[in-house]
Amino acid sequence: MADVALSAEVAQFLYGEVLLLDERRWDEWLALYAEDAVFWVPSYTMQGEPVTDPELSINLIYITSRAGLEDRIYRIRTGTSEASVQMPRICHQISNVTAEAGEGGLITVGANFMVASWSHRRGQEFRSGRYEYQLARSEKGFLIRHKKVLPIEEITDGWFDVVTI
Amino acid sequence: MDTQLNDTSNDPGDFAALVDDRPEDGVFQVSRRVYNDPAILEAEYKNIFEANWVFLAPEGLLKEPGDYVATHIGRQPVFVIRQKDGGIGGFINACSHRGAMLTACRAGTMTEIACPYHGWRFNTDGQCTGIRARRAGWPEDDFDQSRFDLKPLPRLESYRGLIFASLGADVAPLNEHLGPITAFLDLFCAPAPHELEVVAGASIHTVNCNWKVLHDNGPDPYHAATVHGNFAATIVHRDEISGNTGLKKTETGRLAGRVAAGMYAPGNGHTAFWADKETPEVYPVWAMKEQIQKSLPAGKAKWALERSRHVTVFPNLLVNELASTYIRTYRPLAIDRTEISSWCLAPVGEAADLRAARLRKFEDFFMPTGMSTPDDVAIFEMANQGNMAAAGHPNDMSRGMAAATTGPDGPALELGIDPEMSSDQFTHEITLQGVYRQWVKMMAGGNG
Ligand code: FES
Ligand SMILES: [Fe+2]
Repeated sequence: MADVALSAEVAQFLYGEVLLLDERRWDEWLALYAEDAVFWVPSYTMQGEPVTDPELSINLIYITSRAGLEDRIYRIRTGTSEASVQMPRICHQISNVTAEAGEGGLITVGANFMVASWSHRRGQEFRSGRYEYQLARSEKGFLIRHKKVLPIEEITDGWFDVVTI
Repeated sequence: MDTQLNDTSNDPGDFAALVDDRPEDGVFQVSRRVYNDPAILEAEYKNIFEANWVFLAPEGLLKEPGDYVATHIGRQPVFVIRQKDGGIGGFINACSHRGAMLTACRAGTMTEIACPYHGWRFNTDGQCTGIRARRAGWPEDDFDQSRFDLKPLPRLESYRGLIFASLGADVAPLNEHLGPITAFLDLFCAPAPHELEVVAGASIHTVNCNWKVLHDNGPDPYHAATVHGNFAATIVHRDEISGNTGLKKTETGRLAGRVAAGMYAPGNGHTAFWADKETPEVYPVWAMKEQIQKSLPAGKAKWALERSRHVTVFPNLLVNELASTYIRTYRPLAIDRTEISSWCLAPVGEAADLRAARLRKFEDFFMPTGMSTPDDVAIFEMANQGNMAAAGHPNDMSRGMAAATTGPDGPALELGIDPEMSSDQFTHEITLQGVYRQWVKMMAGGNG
């Protein structure tokens, strides 16, 4: 059973996270992640199921440290990534937020997302799916230990990055 | 440079006029019509994809009897299936009754194939095993059901676990068609024969470009310094701040153009290029150094251990051997839209640290959500837009035309291959020249 008060509190945190992405405040966004945070976007198998073991699979994204997320931002900021010189304008919607406190103070969170995106290059795009988090509490608020993003689409049209999903 | 391209020819069959191939003048130009004219794609479906060998899927996706992969040859839906006796069958994915596709999934398992429309049944050998209300339709006792067996693909062969098929029956045997490419396929995950598996997961994505914009990029190491400079810079930065060594480190020698490299036009429109590894110890294959050096002659062992290898097989397969073995196939969905499917092959029983290095480097570079492929995709879409400019220049692919060696060079001899053309320059375009010579030949109706 989701904890209603906790879910409301976590929802505020998630709104804050995606606003940082929508506003491209990536350094503040990175600060929400634990040093050993995992950011996982499974790929789908040929049979149409998401892969279950990221270590032994090819994933759309499987990053196991904040430094790995920082690499993505570093690349965007080189200014020579053709896919990133013109970052799409994006707008996240988050809904169906549930949160439950579990062992070791970790909070398990589920939410649905939709990202609308617009760029001159690819026009309007929509991606939708499920977020799953493990959050810890720190003195500065919640800290993201684990984020799994599962897009509903098995075939990626174009591309996306950690900051546009 | 003057061009002799006949871009506006009213003869739709005059494909040779679209490629201006004059070695004596150092000219190799391709009309942009080949990328933007829907009539060309129609002819390509017929004369290229549906006429000769095309790649379908890695055998590793068909583990158990009934496992199948459904795909297309040109416009035509087909499937390959692991049969009860362990063999592989390939059939047109359309019911022999009124043509319903037998499966709408990309892959799955069907030990008995049941048509979703009127329920006819087939076994994994394609034999028709059941017709609903057969006697009501055909009362005769000696009714021959075999006339409704599924249509097998006229040719189906594998090389090193890669399944190819041809809708044209009258084509050369597969290994003859592949020619010198077989030497490269033999080296993947050497020492061969080495059992390979398809790693769980796949990379399937769509791009708004003509299929040849994509195909042109596979044999084009020239673009790496421009398009992937940001990847190299990011990796160098990562490895510096983290002090990564060994398997954790990613090599950038090839992307930065610091290493010896070369390319081949082996014939039949296939291509190959290679680059020496600056730091061979960061590659998982290095762990097999002793075995490889024992089992292969010195020249081939050097190829297996110390060179990255990149091949394309005309018209729809790319195999890259970097830290991982990457196989990619693609099919045109429309004149300006292409679907790409990729998998990672890896040795069965590989140690966990080697496997992790292989997979994480694969994701970094090859996923449409990684740090390189998005840049390629963005460029494909820009190149495709630019190629709409029929009023502009034709595309120039003449780099290295005069400097290239006819026949094999030193590294080719080490590998034991006899390509049509060799070059020791990474920025040459002899690979593309080979591609478009084959294109002209096949579009004119030759099977090559
Ligand atoms: S179309 Fe398959 S049974 Fe009729
Ligand atoms: Fe590239």
